Amino acid sequence: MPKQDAQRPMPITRSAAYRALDRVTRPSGLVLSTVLVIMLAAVTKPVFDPDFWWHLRAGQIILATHHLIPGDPFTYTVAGHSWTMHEWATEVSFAWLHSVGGLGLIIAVIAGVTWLGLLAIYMRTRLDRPNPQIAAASMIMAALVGTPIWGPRAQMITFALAALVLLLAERHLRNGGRAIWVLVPVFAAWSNLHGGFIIGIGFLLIIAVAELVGHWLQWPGSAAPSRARTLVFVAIAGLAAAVVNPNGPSILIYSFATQGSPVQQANIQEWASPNFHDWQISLLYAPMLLTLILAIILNRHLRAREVALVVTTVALSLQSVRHIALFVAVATPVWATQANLLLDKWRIHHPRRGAQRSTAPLSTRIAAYCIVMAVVSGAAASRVVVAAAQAEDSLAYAKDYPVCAVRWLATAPPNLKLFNQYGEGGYLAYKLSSRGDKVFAFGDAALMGDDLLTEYMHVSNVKWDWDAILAKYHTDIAVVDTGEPISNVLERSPRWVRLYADPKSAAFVRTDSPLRHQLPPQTALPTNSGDVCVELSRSQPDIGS
Amino acid sequence: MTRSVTRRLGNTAVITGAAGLSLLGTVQTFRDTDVWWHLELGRYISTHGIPMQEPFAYTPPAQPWVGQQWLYEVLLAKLVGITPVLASITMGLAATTAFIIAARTLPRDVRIPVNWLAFSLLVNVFVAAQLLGVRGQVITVLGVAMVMWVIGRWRQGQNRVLWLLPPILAIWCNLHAGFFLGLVLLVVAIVLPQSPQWGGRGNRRLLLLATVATAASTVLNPAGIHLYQYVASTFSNSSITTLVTEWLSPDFHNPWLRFFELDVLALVAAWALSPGGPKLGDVVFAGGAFVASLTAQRNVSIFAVIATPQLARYGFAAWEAHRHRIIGAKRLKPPPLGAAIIGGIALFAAIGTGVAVSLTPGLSDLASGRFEAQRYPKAAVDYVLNHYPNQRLYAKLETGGYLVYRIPENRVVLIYGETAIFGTAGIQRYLDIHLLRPNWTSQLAATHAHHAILPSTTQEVAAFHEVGWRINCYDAASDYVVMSEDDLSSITARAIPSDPRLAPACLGNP
Repeated sequence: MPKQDAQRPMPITRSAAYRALDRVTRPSGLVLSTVLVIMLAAVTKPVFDPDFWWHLRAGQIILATHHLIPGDPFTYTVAGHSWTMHEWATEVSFAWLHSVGGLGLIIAVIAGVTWLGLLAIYMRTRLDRPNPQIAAASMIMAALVGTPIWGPRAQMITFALAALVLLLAERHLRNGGRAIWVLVPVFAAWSNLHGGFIIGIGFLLIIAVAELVGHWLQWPGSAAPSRARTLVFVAIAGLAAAVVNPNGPSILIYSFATQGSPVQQANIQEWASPNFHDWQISLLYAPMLLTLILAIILNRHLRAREVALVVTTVALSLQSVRHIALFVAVATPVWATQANLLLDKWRIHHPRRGAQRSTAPLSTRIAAYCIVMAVVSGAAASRVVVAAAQAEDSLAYAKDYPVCAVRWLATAPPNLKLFNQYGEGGYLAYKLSSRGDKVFAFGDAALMGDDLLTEYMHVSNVKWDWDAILAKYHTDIAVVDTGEPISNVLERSPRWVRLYADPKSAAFVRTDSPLRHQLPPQTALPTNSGDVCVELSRSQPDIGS
Repeated sequence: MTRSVTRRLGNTAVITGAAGLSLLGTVQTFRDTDVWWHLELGRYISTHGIPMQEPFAYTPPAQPWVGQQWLYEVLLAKLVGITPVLASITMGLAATTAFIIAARTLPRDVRIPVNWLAFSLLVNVFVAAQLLGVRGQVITVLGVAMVMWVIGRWRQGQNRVLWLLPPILAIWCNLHAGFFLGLVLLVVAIVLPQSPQWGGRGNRRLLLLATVATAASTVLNPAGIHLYQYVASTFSNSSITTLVTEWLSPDFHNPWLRFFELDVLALVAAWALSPGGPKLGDVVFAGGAFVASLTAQRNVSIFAVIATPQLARYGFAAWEAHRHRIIGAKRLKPPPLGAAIIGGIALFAAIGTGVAVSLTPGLSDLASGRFEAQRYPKAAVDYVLNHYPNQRLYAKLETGGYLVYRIPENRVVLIYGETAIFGTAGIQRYLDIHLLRPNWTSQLAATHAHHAILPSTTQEVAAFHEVGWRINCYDAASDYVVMSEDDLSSITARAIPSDPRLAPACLGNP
């Protein structure tokens, strides 16, 4: 060994675990860890999607019968309609999870799926190696902007898988390889889980076309055309794989049914355009949209595929609130990259002065990391546990769903034909279909059909033919939200009489109906102080029996 | 004739042609439901002067009347007094003028082919067309265009134009409450950083001075400083955003708002692709108008007028920078002079004829009468005038303006488009009934209205039936019904409501 080398100090070799610990406990690692935990808390919510309940009930029926449900089992209005069960696998999963761990397990699993989707977005964000703080900020923003959408619902599967598609496509365009073909079986599974698989196919085609056009236009940052062409082949293979489901090729048409129905687009809240008077939209979605546009204008540096995806998802999210999740999936990495470019420009003009800040010893950082993570995890866990531990008949759900009215109806003679609010059909079907009770409509708008939805809107909005429609379908009882126009008209109608009311729901039957005397009095319900319905009534004591 | 003169003539012809075509979008019939009460108020002011109190409704006003559009209303009444077509044409020309002025906002040293300007003008006129027509908002569109023109010239260093602002705003504040926007634009121009790079070479102190003088000039109206109180009460009244569609966020299922979205997208793309990028002021003004449009769709017209010069300027710059990637380095040769003149004249004649042929039938007296009968409850009001004269009516807000026009005397109208004057309590009372809230019957009883004019498909028709109202007649042209409160004793025996269209036709004479 030369003398010179012998005098040099030995290089310190660190184990991989040490290096990982060192990286994680640095300020950037701490911020990222905190963000990942906060993200989990942000996406964990109790059931607010009214469609959840009928999905759960449908899954229970499939599990019990080992068959898909061929026709509508829940309504007395369109019972003859054949049912394209495009989410059967999700429904079965819900039912199985429910049987194992109740509502809380479903909430936890779907929160996990959503979190994985956000993680895929984060991994795509990291591909451009932005400043860690910017990456963390973009992820916080993503978690917040999607607030109106997150929750236990099948759509979260589409969100997570769409984020996966975007991640794999981006990696493929940068590095090539065969990993992109993983998407073919993913599409096969996806088409059985949720009809939104078509969005994944659409993303692949949009990226491929944008890149091919970008290459033709010599757009900076365009990928090799061969890689873009591979995406087209994957999309075609994915489309073929998606046909492997109980509904066969009809699943492809189904995916466009809702998008192409003006009745559904006009009347279903989730398909409405975002209301910028709503704080969640004006304080979360709008700033992300506007700062993204501003950064793009200032930087003027965007890949062709990013342009195409951002334009598409902005248009989709302006059309329907539910598509904000897709906007988040697409725009978050673009936002981070654009913000990073601005930061780089800023640093050119404002270079850091003074000595580099020294890093604290590892032991100190570990201690600080543990303390911060304990606090953040505790706060996040409290939210997660509260959401997951919410019982189906808790006061929180009783304020959103006709929990108490259902309890009253459960004591009535079975096989009732119920007129219901569109958003509550799923809950009523979940709770009462086993008794043979049927609802007027529930959340599968494509199954209901435009004609029934129009009729529903006529009753709900009290058009002149509202009562004729109820009579046409031999409706036994109307269970509607207290304070809704139809409720307030039924209250005044000489042909209807109210038999039940709580702060959430009211139930009416025709004055000449024999049911009027067969239904139990509301006073038959329990009156002990701990009961959820008593608590609900106390919240608005002026409404009730 | 020299080449430059020919070119100038050609440019003028193209812009005039575009302006002529834009009349197809700007000249409209009385589509806006508020036009009627403005018209009636104009007549009222012409004979009685500006009222001190709200003059038409039986709902008690929450505040004294502020004649914030008195001049527009008087002018409207005069024009309609000559012929209604004149009002349509005048307002159409005002809107088109606004977009021409907006196109002229471009700095003089920025050379843009006139066809780009014409294209941008037409695109933005048709984006805004749904919000134009015979309505006060057109005045604000024109005012915004004028203020933007002044700001544009000021940014080029022409400080003297600033002194046009006080008279412009003094007139504007007597025509429409949107004058406030003019002041906002001026404040934004003051606040924006000055640099040649960002398009600011004007004297900021002078602009500040001119803005103060302009703000002072807006007090020159019958309401004086109270005009600002009116503006504040309108903007702060959350009930108005519940009530009036125009104050809601845009519904992008609507095709014309998709067109607006494309306009925004085109502008952002032009900004991003143009060499050097956009000027800060341009981004701030157009961005602000975009945000305002997302909050209230009525501001789409303001965005359109601000976007007109920018789309042309940056669109052309982006095209020039990137055209070689799309069509190569080739450039089209200009046509021979003779062919250009003949072609221009032919095109001009074709546009003129097309516009005249398209507009004339819709503006004839016969067509106007038919339009009124189809869009407004003309026959239903005739029926009420003959059967229930001077009696209070219940009607939807949108119909209230027409009722004011048809029955201005004796305060028979519940509410109409001047919602701010009725205050939150008045608006809420109307909403209690209209939205069938729990207390709707007691609120209806409190109006002491025993007759109603309603669209046959509205929820009130079915709801009123349940509390003992009957349908007297059906106005088939407009799909309205006339209802009256029935004998209370018959309520218990009421049958399921039947199709209102089967009721007897509304005839004016008993």
